[in-house]
Amino acid sequence: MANYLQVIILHTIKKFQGERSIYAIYHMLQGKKSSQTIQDAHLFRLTNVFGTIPHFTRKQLVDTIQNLVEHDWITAKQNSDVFIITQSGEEELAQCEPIPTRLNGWKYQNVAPVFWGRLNLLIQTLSHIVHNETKFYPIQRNTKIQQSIKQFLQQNRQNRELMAQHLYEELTDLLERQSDRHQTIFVRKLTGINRVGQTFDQISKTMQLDEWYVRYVFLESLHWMLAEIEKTFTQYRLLSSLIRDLQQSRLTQSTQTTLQFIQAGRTLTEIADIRRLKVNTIEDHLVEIVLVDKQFPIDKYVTSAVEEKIRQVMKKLQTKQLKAIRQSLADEAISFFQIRLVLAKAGDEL
Amino acid sequence: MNSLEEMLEHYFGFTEFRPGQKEVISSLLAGKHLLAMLPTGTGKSLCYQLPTYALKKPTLIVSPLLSLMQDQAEQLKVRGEKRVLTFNSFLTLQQKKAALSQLSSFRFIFISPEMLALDYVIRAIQQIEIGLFVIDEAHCISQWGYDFRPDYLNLGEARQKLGEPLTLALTATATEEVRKDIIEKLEIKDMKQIVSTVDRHNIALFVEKLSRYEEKLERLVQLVQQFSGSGIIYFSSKKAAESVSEYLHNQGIDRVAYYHGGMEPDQRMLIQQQFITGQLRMICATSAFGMGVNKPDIRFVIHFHLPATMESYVQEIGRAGRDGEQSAAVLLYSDGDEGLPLHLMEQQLPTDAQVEGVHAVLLKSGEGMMDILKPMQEQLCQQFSLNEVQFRMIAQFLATKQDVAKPIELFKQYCYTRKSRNAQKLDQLLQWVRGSACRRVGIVQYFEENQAVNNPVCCDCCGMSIEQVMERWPHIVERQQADSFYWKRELASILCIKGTKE
Ligand SMILES: [Zn+2]
Repeated sequence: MANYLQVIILHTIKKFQGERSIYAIYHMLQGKKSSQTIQDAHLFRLTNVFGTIPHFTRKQLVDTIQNLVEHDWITAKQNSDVFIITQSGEEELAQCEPIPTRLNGWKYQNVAPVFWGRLNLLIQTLSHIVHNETKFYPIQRNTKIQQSIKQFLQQNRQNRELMAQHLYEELTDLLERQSDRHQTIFVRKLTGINRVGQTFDQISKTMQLDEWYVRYVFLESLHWMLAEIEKTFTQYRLLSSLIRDLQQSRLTQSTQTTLQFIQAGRTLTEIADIRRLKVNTIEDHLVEIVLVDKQFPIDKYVTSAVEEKIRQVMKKLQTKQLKAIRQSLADEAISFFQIRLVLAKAGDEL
Repeated sequence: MNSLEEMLEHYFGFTEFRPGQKEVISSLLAGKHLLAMLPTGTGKSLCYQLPTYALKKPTLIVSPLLSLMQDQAEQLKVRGEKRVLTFNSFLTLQQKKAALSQLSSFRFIFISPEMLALDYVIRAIQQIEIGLFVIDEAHCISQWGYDFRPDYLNLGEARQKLGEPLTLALTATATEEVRKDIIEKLEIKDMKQIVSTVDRHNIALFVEKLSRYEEKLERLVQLVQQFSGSGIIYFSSKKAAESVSEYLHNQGIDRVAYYHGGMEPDQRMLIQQQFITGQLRMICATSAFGMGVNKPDIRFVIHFHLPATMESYVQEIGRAGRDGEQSAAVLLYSDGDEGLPLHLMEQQLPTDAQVEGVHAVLLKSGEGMMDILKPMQEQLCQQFSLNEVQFRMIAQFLATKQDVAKPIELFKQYCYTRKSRNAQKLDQLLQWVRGSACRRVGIVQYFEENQAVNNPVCCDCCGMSIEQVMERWPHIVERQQADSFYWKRELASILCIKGTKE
C-alpha cells in the first residue's frame, strides 16, 4: 500500500498527463509563486494540493519518484524527467484514501499556518486564564503570532470565560460538520492547561494511520474551516475576528502594482518602463491576474478572433502544452503570451 | 533592597543561593571580569540575571543556539520579566530595525554571535550602555573545546568595540586548557576564574558492558522498567533514537517518544513540552535534546551509545537530578561502540582535498571571499561533498584571513591537529569506560580538579548497584495515561466548559 505522500504525488502525475516534468510537481507542492506554477495549478486542476508541502525537498521528491517507479506505478516518458501513471498506478490510486475534497491549497496555503498558529495559541492562553493560571510556556514560538494574540486579547476585552465559551461553541459547530477522523486529529493537536498537543507522528501511531495522511486530513480541516468562516462570518464572530487581517488579495505584491497601472490605462510596455521590469514579467503578472479573475478583459491583448482560434486548437489537440498549440496554429503573429492568456481564461473548461 | 539575599527572594522567590552563585555575583558586582565554570543544573542563568537588576543597565547575552536562546527568554518571561529581547536571524529586517531603535528599553538582550558580527548591530549597541556582557556556553570559543563554533571567534573583537564592558563567560564543562584558551581569545588580561567541581554528588554513576546490540536493548528495557520518574536516553544517531523509541513502545512501555534535530521545529517543541509537563516520561534523543530544557526532576540519563568526549558526557548526565534528589546515569557499552563517534567526528572536519578544492575555486574568482562563498554554498557543497558543518568551518577560516594564499596550510594543519585531538579525547573516555577505578574520581581527574571524592552512593566500581540506588530514590507518583479520547469532552476540558453532554 502506498503511503500518502506517494498518493499525492501519484495524483499529481496523473493530473499532469505527461505534460510536465517532475520539477513542476516539486514547485506545485511547494507552492512556488511563479506564473508558470500558478497557471499549471489551474490548468491541471491541482489548486487543491498547491503549496500543501511548503518544506518539500528535492530529495523527498526524488526518493518518492524512485519508489513509485519501483512499484511500477509510474513510468518515464522518452524524456526521463517526465512521468506518466501506469495501469497498476491507477489501480493503486483507486484503492487508497481519496484526495481530500475540501482541500484548497491555492486559496489557503499562506493563511492556514497563521490561522492554526493563532488558534492554537489563543486556545492555550484562554485555557490557562480560565483555569486561573497566568504563567505558561507558549506553544507557539513565532513572535509575530505571539504578538497578534496579545493584541487580539487587548482589543477584545470580553470576559474570558465568555470568550472561551464562544470559542468552544464556534469550534464544536465547525467540527461537528466534519468526520470522526477530522475531529479527533484536530483536537489531539490542541494544547491546553493539562495537556500538550500531539505530534503528527504520535497521532498517526495512536490512530494507526499513515503520518502523511494525518497531515493532509488536518490541513483539510483547516482549509475547510477557513472557507466556512469566510462564507458565514456572522456565525463565527470570534474566529473571523481572529483572522480578519489575513483575508487580503491573493495576488502577489508586484502583480497588485501592475494591476493598478493597467487600471490606470497604461500599456504593458509603459508599465515595464516605469517599473524598470522586463515586459515578460509584466506579462506574467497579467496572466496571474486573469487566473484569479476569469472575467478580467483580455481583448486589449488578444482579439476575439485570435482567442477563438486558440481555443479551437486546444480542443482539437486536447493539450495544454504551449509549444504544441503554437506549432499547430502555424501563425507567427500569435505569441506565447497570447496563448497563455487564453489558457488562463479558459481554465478548467478544456 | 540591599543584600543579595533580599534581591534573590524579591526577584526569584528563593531564600538560598546554590553553591557558587553568590561568589560569582559578588565578584561581578565588585567589577571583576569573570570566567565561571558551574556544572549543568546549578542555576547558571541566575548568575547574570540577579546582577542585571543590581546594575540597572541592560545585559547582553551571547548564546550559541537559537533554541537555547528562546528557551531562556521564555523562562524569563514566565517569571514575569517583560523586558526581554531575542535578537537573531529569524527576525525580519523590519523587526530588527524596530528592536535596535529601542534597545535601551530592554533589560535582557539575547543575541546570536553572527548578529554580533554585523556592523549596524554593533553601532546600535554602542549607543546604549551595556551593564554586563555575558557569553553563555563560553567553551564554544575554544578550538580545543568539544563544541567549537567558529562564530564565537568574533566575540573578543565585538567586546572591544563595545568598550570592554564587564564580562561574564559561563560554561558547564571546560578543562583547564580550554579555560585558558577562552581567556586568551577574549583578550581579557585580568579575568578572574571561579571553578566549581564538575562532580554532581546526587547522580550515581554506572557503566555496564554488554556483548551485543540485542543485549543492550534487553538491558535498556529492564532499566527503564526499574527506574521510576523521568529520563533521557541518548543515542548518537537519529535513526537509532527513533527505532529504539518504537521498540520500547512495542515492549509495552508507554509515554516514550523520540527527539532529534531532523524533526520540524513545531513538532520538536511539542515533544519537549510534553516531557517537561510530565505527559511523556522518557525521551529517546540525540545530543540535540537537553540544552535549555529546564526540568528539575529528571531521575535518570542512559547512554545507549558512547558520547564523543568526557565533556559531552558530563554535560548530558548533568541534566539529571537538578532538584537535588537521588538520580542515576547509566552508560551501556559494548566493544566497537567507539566506531560511531569516531566516524561522526571525522565528518565534522573537511579533508585536505575538500579544503584545496574550495580554495582553488576562490582563487580563481578573485572576488571578496565571503560575498562569493555564501551564494555558492549549495554548489560548493555538492561539488566537494561537504556537509554544512564542514562548509561553515572552511568559510569561517578562509574569510577571516586577508591573504588568500597563506592560510590553507594553516587550516589543513588545524584540521589535522583537531582530528588527532578528537581521537585522543575519545580515547580518554574509552579508558574511563573500560577501567575499573572509581568513575567519579575519573571524571574529577579528567577536569584536573584536586578534590577528594567521598560519596556513599558512588558508582559501579565502588560496589554500588542499581538496586541500592533505588533504595534512596524519591517516591514518585506515576501519571495515569488517559484511556479514552473523545474530542468534545477533551475540548470542553481544555476550555473549562461545564455541563456539556456527549
Ligand atoms: Zn566511585
